[in-house]
Amino acid sequence: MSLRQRIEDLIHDLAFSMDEERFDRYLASCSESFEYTISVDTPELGREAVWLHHDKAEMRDLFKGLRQHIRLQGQFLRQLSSPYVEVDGDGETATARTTFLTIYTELDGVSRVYAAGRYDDVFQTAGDSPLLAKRIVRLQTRDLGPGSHLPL
Amino acid sequence: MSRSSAAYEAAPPLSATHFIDNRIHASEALWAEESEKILGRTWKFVCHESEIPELYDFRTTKIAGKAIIVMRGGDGTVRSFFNACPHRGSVLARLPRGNARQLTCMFHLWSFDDRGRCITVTRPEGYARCGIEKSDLGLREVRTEAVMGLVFANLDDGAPALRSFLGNALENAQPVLEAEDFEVFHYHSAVIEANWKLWHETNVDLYHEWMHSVNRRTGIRADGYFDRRFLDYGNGHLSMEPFRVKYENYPGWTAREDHTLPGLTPGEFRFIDLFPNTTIILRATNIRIDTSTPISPTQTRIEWRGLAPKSDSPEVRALRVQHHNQLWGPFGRNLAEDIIAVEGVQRSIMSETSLYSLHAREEGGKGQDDGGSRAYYAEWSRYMGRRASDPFGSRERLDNAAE
Repeated sequence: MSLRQRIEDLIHDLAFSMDEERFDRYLASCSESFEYTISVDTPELGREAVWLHHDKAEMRDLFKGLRQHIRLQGQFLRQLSSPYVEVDGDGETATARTTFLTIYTELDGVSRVYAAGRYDDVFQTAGDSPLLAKRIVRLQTRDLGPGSHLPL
Repeated sequence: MSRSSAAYEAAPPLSATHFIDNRIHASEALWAEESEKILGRTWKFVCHESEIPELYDFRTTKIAGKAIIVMRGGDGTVRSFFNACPHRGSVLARLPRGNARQLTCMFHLWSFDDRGRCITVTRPEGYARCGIEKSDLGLREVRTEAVMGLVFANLDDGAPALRSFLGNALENAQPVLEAEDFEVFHYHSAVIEANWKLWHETNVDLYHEWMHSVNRRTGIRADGYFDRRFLDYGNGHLSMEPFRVKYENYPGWTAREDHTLPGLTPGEFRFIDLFPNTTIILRATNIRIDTSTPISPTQTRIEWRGLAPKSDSPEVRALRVQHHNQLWGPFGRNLAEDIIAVEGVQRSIMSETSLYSLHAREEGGKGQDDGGSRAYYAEWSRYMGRRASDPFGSRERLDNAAE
């Protein structure tokens, strides 16, 4: 399987892991230097704003603490576009852009679009398997209702 | 023991100040009355001065459902106007912010200057016979005043001045807001499925902090939490004595010892609730301001801002943003829980399974006393001329109750 194909599979696997709240699997696909950011263009301020920024340890803490919190009880489902992958010339990193829609389904079965945006990812590709080293979520949706305890 | 229908529908056996009739959160008629008597007559926080720093900068918002444009004029004065062309009503400024020496309506190209004066009417000769002059066609100005960088507007031309309305209510924020120039680094808004008062009631209600994992660990278990006294500034404005939050009690978080805002001590927490719908919360390193715009009795748009000193280095600003987002960002550990809670309350009210809310806790004005929410609803009652516990004089089914 080509590196490009393995990266595409990984991006989908990350989405499934988050949908299914399999956080250990999600983190196992991230490098030790992993950084996760949700960035939003805020027209009210005329600039980008960061709504979440975590390193790997902070993501682990976030996932560990979830059970202590009151949060939405329905299900999130991430619908991804086909990732656009570019492998760098040195073969050690790759980048990918993937647009997403997150659908939220209430406990009564009513679904709605929760968020729209794009993942800008950087992968480490030197080892046996590619690892997600950096994800910037460029979020377009700015009214998230209650918000979410989970990353996108 | 569970209760029968009659027992459940009977008013609670409490003083009339110690409970409310939940129809005040659902009735269309009361909502229309509130819009006129409260939201149309009180000062509403509309933006921070840093959002319109340059001459001719503008920001759009709403008060009591009315579209407003807040603008810094060429003379530096901040004024507000209805964001509607007096000709045929087209919206003048369609963006949330911008800069314009004159506002030109896209529909028929009439234009207005920074004082709200009509300066251009397309093909004015067409109005010669009816005698309308440009001087008759200015924008509706909305009273606007600022204090400590906070810009307020009031639809009521006859309302008392802002400083009279606020009294000393900002004294807990004054040492901070006057020590530095602040700017807004975070803005987001959301429509919640709940009455506007439920949000501001929650900001006054400290008893609900048991719900939040973060607040249980960092606040309720911290020294002095229950010793704080409510401070009642009159006119429905409230605050509470400060205390030190133990942020380090939450797994993975650190104490807020560094880069404390001027006027605060490390970890210090303060809040100010301004009647009817603005809250300022100071948490050691950053500030949150909430304000709301009711859309209907059961829907409210809430706006949240985060403020920090303009003088921050990029590293310090990143720390403040992180601290802000930990609790208050859309992906934080606190804000979502409040919204989930009040939306649940609203569902119970609309299904008429929750008829009354109790505000009966008394802890000597300290800790988790309900004195704050009682003062809030006392002020609501003063404006509305009716008790929040007995808004209609009889218990009738809501005309817009959920099936």
